[in-house]
Amino acid sequence: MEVASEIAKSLGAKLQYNWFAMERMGKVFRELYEGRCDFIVGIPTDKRLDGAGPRLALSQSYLISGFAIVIGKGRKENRLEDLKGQPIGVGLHTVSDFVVFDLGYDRVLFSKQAEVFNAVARDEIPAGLVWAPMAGWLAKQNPAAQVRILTETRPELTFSLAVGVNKDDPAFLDAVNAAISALIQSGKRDEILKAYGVPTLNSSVGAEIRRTVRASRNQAGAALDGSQPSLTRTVWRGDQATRATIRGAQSPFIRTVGGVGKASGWPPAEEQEAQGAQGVSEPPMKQNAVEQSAEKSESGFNLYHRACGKCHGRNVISGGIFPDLRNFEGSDADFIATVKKGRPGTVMPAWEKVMTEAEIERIRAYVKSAAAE
Amino acid sequence: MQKKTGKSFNKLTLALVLSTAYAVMPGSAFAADWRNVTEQRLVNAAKDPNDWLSYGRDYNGTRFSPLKEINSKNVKNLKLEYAYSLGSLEGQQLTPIVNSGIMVLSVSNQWIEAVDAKTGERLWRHNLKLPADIGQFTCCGLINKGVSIYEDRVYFTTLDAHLVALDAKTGKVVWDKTVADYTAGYSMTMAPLVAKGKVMVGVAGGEYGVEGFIEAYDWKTGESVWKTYTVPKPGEPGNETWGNDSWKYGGAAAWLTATYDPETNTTYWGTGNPAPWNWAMRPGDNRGANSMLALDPDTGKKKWDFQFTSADAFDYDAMAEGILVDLKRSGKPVKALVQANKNGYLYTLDRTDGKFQSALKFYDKVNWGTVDPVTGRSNIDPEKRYAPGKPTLVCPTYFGAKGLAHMAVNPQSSMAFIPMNDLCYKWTAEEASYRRGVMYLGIGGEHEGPGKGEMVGVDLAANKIAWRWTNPTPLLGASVLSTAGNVIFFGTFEGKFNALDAATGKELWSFPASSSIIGAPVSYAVDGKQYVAVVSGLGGSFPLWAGKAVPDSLKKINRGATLWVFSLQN
Ligand code: HEC
Repeated sequence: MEVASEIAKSLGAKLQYNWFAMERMGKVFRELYEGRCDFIVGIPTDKRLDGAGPRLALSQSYLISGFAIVIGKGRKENRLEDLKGQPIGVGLHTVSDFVVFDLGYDRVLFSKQAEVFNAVARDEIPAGLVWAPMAGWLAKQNPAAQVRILTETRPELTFSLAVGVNKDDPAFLDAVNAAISALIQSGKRDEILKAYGVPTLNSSVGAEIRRTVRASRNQAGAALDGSQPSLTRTVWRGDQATRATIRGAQSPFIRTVGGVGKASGWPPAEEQEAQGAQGVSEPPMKQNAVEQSAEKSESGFNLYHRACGKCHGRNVISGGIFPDLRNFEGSDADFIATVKKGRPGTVMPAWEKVMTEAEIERIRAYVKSAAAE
Repeated sequence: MQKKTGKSFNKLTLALVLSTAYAVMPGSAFAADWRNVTEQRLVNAAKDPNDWLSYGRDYNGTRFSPLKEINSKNVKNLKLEYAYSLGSLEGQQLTPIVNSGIMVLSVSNQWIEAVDAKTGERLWRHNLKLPADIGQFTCCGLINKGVSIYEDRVYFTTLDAHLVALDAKTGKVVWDKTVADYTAGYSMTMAPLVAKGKVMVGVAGGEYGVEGFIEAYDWKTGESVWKTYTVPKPGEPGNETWGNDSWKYGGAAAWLTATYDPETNTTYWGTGNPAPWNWAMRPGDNRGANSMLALDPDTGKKKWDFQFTSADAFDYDAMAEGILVDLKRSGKPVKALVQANKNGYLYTLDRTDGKFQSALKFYDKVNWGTVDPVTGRSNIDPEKRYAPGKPTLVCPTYFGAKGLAHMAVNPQSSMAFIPMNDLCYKWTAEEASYRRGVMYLGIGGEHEGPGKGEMVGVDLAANKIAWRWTNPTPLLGASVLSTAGNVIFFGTFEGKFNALDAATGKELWSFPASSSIIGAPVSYAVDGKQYVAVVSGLGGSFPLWAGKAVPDSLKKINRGATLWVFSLQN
């Protein structure tokens, strides 16, 4: 955020910002393409993200960030490798989750980044992987925890973050690049990072990221006892009593990156035409922003596929039995009224007791975006 | 239940009177006479060629008719005996049941009809009333797989999760039990297994995060006798394989008819996918899901279980029939249970103890992982586990290399005939939260269509593929009938009703039906004459779910249910 405002300042512009959840990348890109927004901060320049935004041009990187290794009080480990055989806390469905799984470490899953940090701080687990800006900020808030944040991490866990602008505007890209150079050279960037306790991470980013696949399972004797087969052990922790929080777990920290948190994953924008609620416009480092994002509403894409896709077709392509909603001819109001009341006498159900009007509106928006493709 | 009591008594009586009038006409079977379906007849069904008394024809589930008047030499002379419009626009996935000249059909989940199997005259009809909001809770249209019969009763299940008993002579409701709450996503489409005086059913709803269970009801009174959950509860072995407390809504629905071995007193239930589809939400093997469960029919107690796909990520239900067949493998007799799994492997288990015997890959493109040749344990390739930002292309699709269409076995030649789907799916991970009565999947993606189908002939004794026959579309609905005449029958989405040589896979005969065929063919004899029957009617999950993979040719096919009955004509 601060980075964005510095860039804006040096461009002589007033900053207006919207926070978007990771799932809303399609929407974010659209904002950019349609000229409602000039740049997006916090896009990882990672090979693993190719195809995320064909019309997107990336600036030079302004920061290397990623998942920092947070080590509990009094512990000696200095590298991820030192933690082999010990449980490592990770956020469910984050890059850290997959990397740790692939590398064959034992994982403890949490739904939120802050929970990973807190578990380490409370000495429940020896170490955890926490999104670096978040880790830094939490460590700064909790000096008593005496955790250590390792600046050395693995390449799979780091991202070099850049600013995305519309490809059709090369002059603007140049200006942004110049602003970033100035930001770094003037020491302003490091000042901002320091203020928030954001650690810089070292690893050979830019080098080819190797996907290390863990050794195949030992199969002998694993037949019928139903025991956990993998070499890794996974434990679930955190507020898992209610099912709803599991959803929140998908992308809990996404807004902490500065505008767009894509770090936990980067579904192709085309498949992620999730519409609707923009994120909270609060400073990213506040924990409650994270909490709030966990409660965030379900996307139109998901709602459609859970409630409508079984009849109207996956990705809104009808198999010919029931109407293809891409061809719906009425107004949005007609659409929403039809969905609320159903079509009595046919199998088209009434959804008004199941969904809120806002949810139906999000389905409508998703259906329109699918029709536009 | 008020809502499902059906037609008024007056109309039923009238229908019956009419049919009796037909019945006295010369040449007509004495259709109104219901022959009691005793336990004895059901246990000996394999030896009695004339009827089709239970879902898989016999308790072994072979779908094998010992009739051989129609055979590979003369099947080219097969002609339409009659066609009977069933009056529905819904998908018809049923297996008709035939008892001494009376055929009982569940026409989707709309009505049950009894007809004279020789002429197609209606004897009675029972109309169902489903709740108006049923569409919210079901996955695949108003489908139903067929009825079951026992003594003088007809049993069927409903999409709003009722189990109903009708009087087989009149179609009148005897009892109607609510098995589960449909508004929580429970539904039922299966034909019950009836044995030892118990009507045994499982529920569907694996896409809604239900708690899968199997329940037995007393055939006479409809009182519940036992109920067994498919997913282990806390304290039971295997509960620890459901990380994140996922056992609570873990699915594992046993949604198709079980097979039954009277000799060992065991019923065999295939269970469905763990919920939600997104694997990351339920760390662990998820024991109980994608498994074969061997249950004691008297108590519901589990004797053994075998998991086909552990830690499933691809909706590889193992709900399919476990067909019971005695084999000779390398000179040794094996009391086998064979299942062609969605994951592309044909498994042979020892049905007495659940011991893994072999897995034969019947779908070449399988790329999700491997099956351990010694233990039978599945190993999903970690690279195929989709995650946010990591879509994966996996073969076969979630419809399965073999879907819900039933294979058949010829126990005389030890052959199995597997309707196969060649179709792959690109998975993406999405958010999923449980919400009562709404699908619980957590995935996105799209088919890599259009795909095709194959009928695969397997020599079970040698455990080898004998032949393959190719179809332009997947054989997702192509349940197979195997006959002693060395012919197999099945229908396709194109609406073709085909006969192949069972030994070679050569196409011998084909009939163009008026709509897609997703129902199961049966064979029976009345007055010494063999008939082959099948119901057509486009519908079911494929055209609804498959999106891009539905070929344009299929979109031109009209709906409409018809019963087709064939016989030899010289
Ligand atoms: C059980 C199947 C089923 C489900 C689930 C379903 N629909 Fe429908 N829908 C239908 C059928 C059938 C029709 C056509 C009804 C008719 O003949 O008028 C229809 C019609 C519609 C129409 C009107 C189309 C037109 O061109 O007139 C809209 C809009 C619609 N559905 C939206 C939805 C949405 C949004 C959802 C999910 C929240 C949904 N449907 C879920 C079966 C379904």
